[in-house]
Amino acid sequence: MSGAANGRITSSAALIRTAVNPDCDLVAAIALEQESEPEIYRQIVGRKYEGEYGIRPSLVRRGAKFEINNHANDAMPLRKRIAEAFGYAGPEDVLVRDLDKEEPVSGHVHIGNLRRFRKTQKIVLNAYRRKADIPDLVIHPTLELPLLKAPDGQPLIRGSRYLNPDFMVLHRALGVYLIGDEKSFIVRDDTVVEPGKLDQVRRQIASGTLAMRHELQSIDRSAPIISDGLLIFASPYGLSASKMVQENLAGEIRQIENAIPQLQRVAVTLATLRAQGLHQLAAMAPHLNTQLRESCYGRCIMVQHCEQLPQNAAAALGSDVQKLLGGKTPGEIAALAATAGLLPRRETALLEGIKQAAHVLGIDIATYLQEVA
Amino acid sequence: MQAFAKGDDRVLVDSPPGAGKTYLVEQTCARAVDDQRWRVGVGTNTRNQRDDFALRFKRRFPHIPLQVALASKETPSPALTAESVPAINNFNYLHNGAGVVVSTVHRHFYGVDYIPRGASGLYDLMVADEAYQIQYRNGGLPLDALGRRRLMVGDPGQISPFTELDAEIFESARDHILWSLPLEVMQNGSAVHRLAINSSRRLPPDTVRIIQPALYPNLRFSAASTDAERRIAFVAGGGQADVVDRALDTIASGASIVAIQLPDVGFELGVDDEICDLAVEVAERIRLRRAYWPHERMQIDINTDLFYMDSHVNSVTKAQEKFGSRSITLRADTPNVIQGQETLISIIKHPLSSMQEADPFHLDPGRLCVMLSRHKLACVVLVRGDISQVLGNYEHDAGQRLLGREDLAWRGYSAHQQIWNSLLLSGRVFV
Amino acid sequence: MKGVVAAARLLAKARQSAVRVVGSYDIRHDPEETFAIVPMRVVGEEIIQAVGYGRLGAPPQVVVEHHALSRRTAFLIPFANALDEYLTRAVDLDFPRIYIANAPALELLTVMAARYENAGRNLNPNPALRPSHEVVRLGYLCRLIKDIYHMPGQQIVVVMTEAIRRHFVTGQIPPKDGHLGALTEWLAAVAGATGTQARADLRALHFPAAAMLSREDDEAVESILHKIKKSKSALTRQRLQADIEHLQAESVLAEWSMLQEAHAAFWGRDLDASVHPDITKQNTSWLKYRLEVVVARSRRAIAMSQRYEMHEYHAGLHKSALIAQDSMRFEHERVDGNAFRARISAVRKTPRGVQPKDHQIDLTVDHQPNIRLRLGHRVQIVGGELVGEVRMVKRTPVGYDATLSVLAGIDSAAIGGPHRWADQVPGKPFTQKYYDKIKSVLGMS
Repeated sequence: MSGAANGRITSSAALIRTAVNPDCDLVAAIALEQESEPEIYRQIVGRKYEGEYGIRPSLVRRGAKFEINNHANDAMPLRKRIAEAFGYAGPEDVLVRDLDKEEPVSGHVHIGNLRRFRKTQKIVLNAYRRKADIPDLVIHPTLELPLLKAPDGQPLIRGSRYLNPDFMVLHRALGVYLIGDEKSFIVRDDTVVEPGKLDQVRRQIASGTLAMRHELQSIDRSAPIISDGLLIFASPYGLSASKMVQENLAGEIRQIENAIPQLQRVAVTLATLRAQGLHQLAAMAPHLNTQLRESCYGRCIMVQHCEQLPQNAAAALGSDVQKLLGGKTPGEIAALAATAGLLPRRETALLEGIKQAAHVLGIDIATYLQEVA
Repeated sequence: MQAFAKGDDRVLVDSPPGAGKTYLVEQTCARAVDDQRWRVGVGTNTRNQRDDFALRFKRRFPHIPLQVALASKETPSPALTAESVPAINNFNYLHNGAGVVVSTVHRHFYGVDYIPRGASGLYDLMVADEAYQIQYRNGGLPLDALGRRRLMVGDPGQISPFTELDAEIFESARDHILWSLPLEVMQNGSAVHRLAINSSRRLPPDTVRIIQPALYPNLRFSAASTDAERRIAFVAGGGQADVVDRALDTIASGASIVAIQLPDVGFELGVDDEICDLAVEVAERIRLRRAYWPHERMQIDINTDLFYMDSHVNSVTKAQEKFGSRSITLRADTPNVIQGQETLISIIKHPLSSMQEADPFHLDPGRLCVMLSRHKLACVVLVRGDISQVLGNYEHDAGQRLLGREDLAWRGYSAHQQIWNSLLLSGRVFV
Repeated sequence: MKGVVAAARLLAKARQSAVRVVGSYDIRHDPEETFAIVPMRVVGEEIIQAVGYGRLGAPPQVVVEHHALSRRTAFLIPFANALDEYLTRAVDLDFPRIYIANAPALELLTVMAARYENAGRNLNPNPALRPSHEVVRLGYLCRLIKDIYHMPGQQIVVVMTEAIRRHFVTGQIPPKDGHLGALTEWLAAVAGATGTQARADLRALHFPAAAMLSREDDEAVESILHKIKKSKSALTRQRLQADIEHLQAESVLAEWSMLQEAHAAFWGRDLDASVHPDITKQNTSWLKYRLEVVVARSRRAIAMSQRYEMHEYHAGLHKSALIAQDSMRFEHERVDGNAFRARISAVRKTPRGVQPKDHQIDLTVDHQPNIRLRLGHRVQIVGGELVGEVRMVKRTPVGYDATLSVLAGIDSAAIGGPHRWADQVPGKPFTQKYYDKIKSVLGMS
């Protein structure tokens, strides 16, 4: 289970979590409340979370070192990869600005982010207007996703309204920036060695790209709608960056877009519950819908809790079982089998499927249903 | 031919459905033999395609030496025998000199053993017909060895080749042998002279307007015919005034693609009896109302001028039984089998029919493309459930494709959505 | 198959014990000597910090490198030599069997292959960090292991979690099946047991079983490394180093023990034995050649095409062997529509001397809900020689009638049955000579 050292998740992580399971109010609520996940677990479940939580130190260290390496010497490794990917003469042909250095975020995080955001806006605007000396590479830009605001203008995700992609690269022909992410996970043979990380990175870039779309739209309603993003991982050899890959992420962007209304809905629900006198997320949790899925495992700290809930009993066996039972319990299926006379088509098909399966398992349907019901 | 004359040795012609690519291939072969005295090899993906090509070529160019290279123990089909198309089982019996040799790409592979020592091939020109259906492993280096000049002709929108085996090591190799021939040739940096046919002789203009932006965003083409030329008329009116009649009336008013939607049942049906019955009903209603094609002055015969297509073999079998029980002998099969062929009217079961969740297999754009591009006059789409809802609930799997690969599932999703919205907005979905 | 697995999962939950979904093992019983590999990585770096190896059933040999990020590889030499010796011995005696606990362990070997096999060519500027030739060879052997793993029906490399899941289904949600300990808990439980899920969850909670140290041990190692860096005393450093090595070894032993337990539980379920002499022989001779001659990794079209054809052939061979020996597997195929039962109701042989030959047989096919029988489809009697191509198929009140053109085995065709039928087994791959000819025509080496 990955989460920051303080247990909180960033706004892009919040978007991603909600995007992966848009039917679960609880995961959206955790993202919105920005409380420590292990602490929320403890409050809701009543005991300390015992499983593994948080990024391993080796990963944190590797990620930091990877970034330092890539940004060293005016981001020479990144510039090299950009030059290769975009067919420039060489890394010297790639102009870079590092907003980390220009506006280091320390002290008041919001003010720091705001300054970076303003600078990023200016760079994006100037690029779109084809001004001179536009950087090809901008490290740690900051963008805002306006949809992440509640109706009262406050940020939906408490204390966090900005997105901070790793970098953005100018598409010279279009005059717009593509969002990029650099991750120290190893890639071999076009496969990211750590499973589940590639989709996470794609969604992360998608969040940033969505924010960039909004920025461009605010400049010019007819600005191109970008869907491409840039990914850099590590090669199997040391900490060197592998080649930069450009991908179309329209599918992922749509997923992120769908997460936003869910966050907004849940924010309204939380506000309603607060109005009723419930202030702690733990107290609100029983009033929130949960949706257990196979994708929750390895992603969400609450999975152990959710799988015990009666409403998730069927889901706790997986999607294939849910499909086999067609939303019914084994007991209901057994009752159907015992029914004399014609059954509706759906129930007939369900029973037939189970009967076939039982036959393959070498057990007659009556015995099977008796055992499972 | 000009490209070859200029020195290009690889030419790719992208062709939308019904553009006459087979005609192009035939013409090119004939010109190559007549003008250049070349020996030309033609490779097809399937035996049926091989035989179809041979029969058509023989009829059009009876003066050009032609041979069909069969598998070693294969006997020629009755059609080939009836038309006296010469067939060989061994490349030892290739005729010398100019002429055309057609075979499957799989069989052509064995021809490499007959390349004379020191020669740079067996043919002066090697043609891959339906190139996008041919895997690179069959159509790449083997055919490169056979012909110093290469012509690939194909429809980029059709069903791509696929494998059921674990493809991990093949996908990550430098040469993607399981990719379609043109895609891999372009990807691996070979110099290819690329051409495109920009019109479809088969498809009505109304169909082109719907499918081109959704399924061929990179290949602009138009219809060679006019709307008036592809209008269907019915002698008899719609006496029953039900959804079938309303759909057919809409076709008669100029819509070439319409849909009839049955209510969702809340679960996925492997074989949908009602859809099969509806397909039969549509066919019979076309017969009952005496459909005809005014421009060609021809009566439409539902036994010979209709196709039924469904993605699932079991479902096709059921449909065949139902058609058969009403003595209707129209062609019913899966898009994989029917691709490459054409008819006047097609009836199709929408790939997402009765699905509760869309998945990459059913969203495959190639399958949808084949189903919506067989007809010259009209296509009736039968579907159970609200496609908008299924598409609306689609949850994209961001980790499924390898790094740097095209998002085929998303491309399919977008195409499905665009086409369905187009039908909805123009009032062509009948419930 | 999905429906069957789902039904089995429900049943397993009810019984609190894993349920088999096939009747026979798809791999042969172990040869006399097996070799297991249990590596531990530094998370994210995918560098080996420790590895246990040796014969399952005996304690492993364990080698460790306390500071894996130092990129020192000398500690791998004993492992490299042991693996090489085992494989060289095993290919001559019978066949090798390599056990690996789970997918992350296999992935780690794959990364090692990428790293070390090429290290001989891409020399590290620091000679102290250049892998020895044994380690370079280890990279090569790991690549061979990975290549074999992908061969359909292969009998040499067994990833334990995957092998278990191919044969048995637990009563827990599928993502939990990735943990070997949890999986084994279900496999070892007897039908009617209680608390299986709780025990499985507990095992998953306390040990990652993903070729890595537990979180606690990982953080302890980090902390000790930090102390080593700060320490000025050689003795202290030595002691601290020993602490790390102890933690690493303990993790290896824990995962080794888990693998042994899983192995015993897997074979203890006593499914029918599997017989794959052809595939085993082919796998072994493939490996033997490559142990003797270093074959470079080729990713080009001709090599990959040949490999694909071999895979296709093995997949067909393996599948047909499995359904021939295992009626449960046959039923899986039947339910999916890929196999059927039919009687031969007529045989029509083309008389001798008449050309062309077109022997035909008629089949009466039993009814089944799904069937993929269509014109041009090639089918074969399971375990038999008779192969036919469908020329006609039509539905009857009790099933289907079909006519096949016989492509092979007409002499074995006789009225009677029922026989089991499935897809035709693909033919042997193209011979080498065609590819050699292509290379020579195209001027390729």
